[in-house]
Amino acid sequence: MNYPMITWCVIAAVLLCAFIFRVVEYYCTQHRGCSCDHKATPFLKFGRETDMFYIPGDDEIPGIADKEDESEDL
Amino acid sequence: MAEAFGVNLDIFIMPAHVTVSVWNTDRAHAEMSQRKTASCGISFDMNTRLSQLSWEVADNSLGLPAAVEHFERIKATKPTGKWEVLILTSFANAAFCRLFGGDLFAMLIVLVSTLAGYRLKQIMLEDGRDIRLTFLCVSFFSASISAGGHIFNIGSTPELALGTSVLYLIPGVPYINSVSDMIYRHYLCAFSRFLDAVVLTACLSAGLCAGMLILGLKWF
Repeated sequence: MNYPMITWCVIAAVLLCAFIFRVVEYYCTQHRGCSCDHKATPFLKFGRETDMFYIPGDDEIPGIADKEDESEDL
Repeated sequence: MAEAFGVNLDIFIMPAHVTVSVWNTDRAHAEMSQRKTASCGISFDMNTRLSQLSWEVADNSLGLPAAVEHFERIKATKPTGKWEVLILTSFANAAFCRLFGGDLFAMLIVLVSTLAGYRLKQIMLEDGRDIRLTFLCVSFFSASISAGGHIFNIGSTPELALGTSVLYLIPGVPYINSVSDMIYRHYLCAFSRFLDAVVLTACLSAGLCAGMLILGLKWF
């Protein structure tokens, strides 16, 4: 086998592994019914500017906007 | 449709918002509403039903309450099943290959590469990956799989299989809509849609080129 054939096989194998992994993950979620309900965390994603430039006192805190303020005034 | 309700209407379309202005014929009363557009896939089924509704209002004088009820039913339309879309897209892309002169082996290669690529696209979008990254990866894998024709000397038109393997990723609807918007002088929206489509096309081109480069295929 020459270089392109080996490369092609590796690429095809990676894709096949991804599909197999997905199927296994799906059946794990279905049959064990469990803690895998939450949405997968993306490996790469574009965040909002508020994720980086949040300033204390802003109205919305990214990710915990619905939580009540538990801090106590001293 | 607006005429059937006895009002005048103007729609101002922006990339992420739509503003609808409605006023009665003597201009005594006007209403304006702005809404953020939902980011969802294109549903031709929903488009057809909305078009039917508009004709029912225009031709059969359907009343506003009935039209609203009909509209709510249309909004609840379920999208086409993902497996149906996957299979039909793969066959359609294989047919594209035939249209460009590909032989049976090339069609088969395109069918398999589209099946694999489109499934990968569905998985990545379900997982919330960025659409540009998705297009890059999917075009890379589709092009690489279809390059198997070249590498293993399958069929007489492997170059057509490679060329048509990423055609299903071309964002045709945004391109058409951008031209349509330009004709109606919605220049901002036209430019926005066009730029979106160009970015996606650049991503798929980069994936295709990366696949060819890694597999050591000659460019031309």
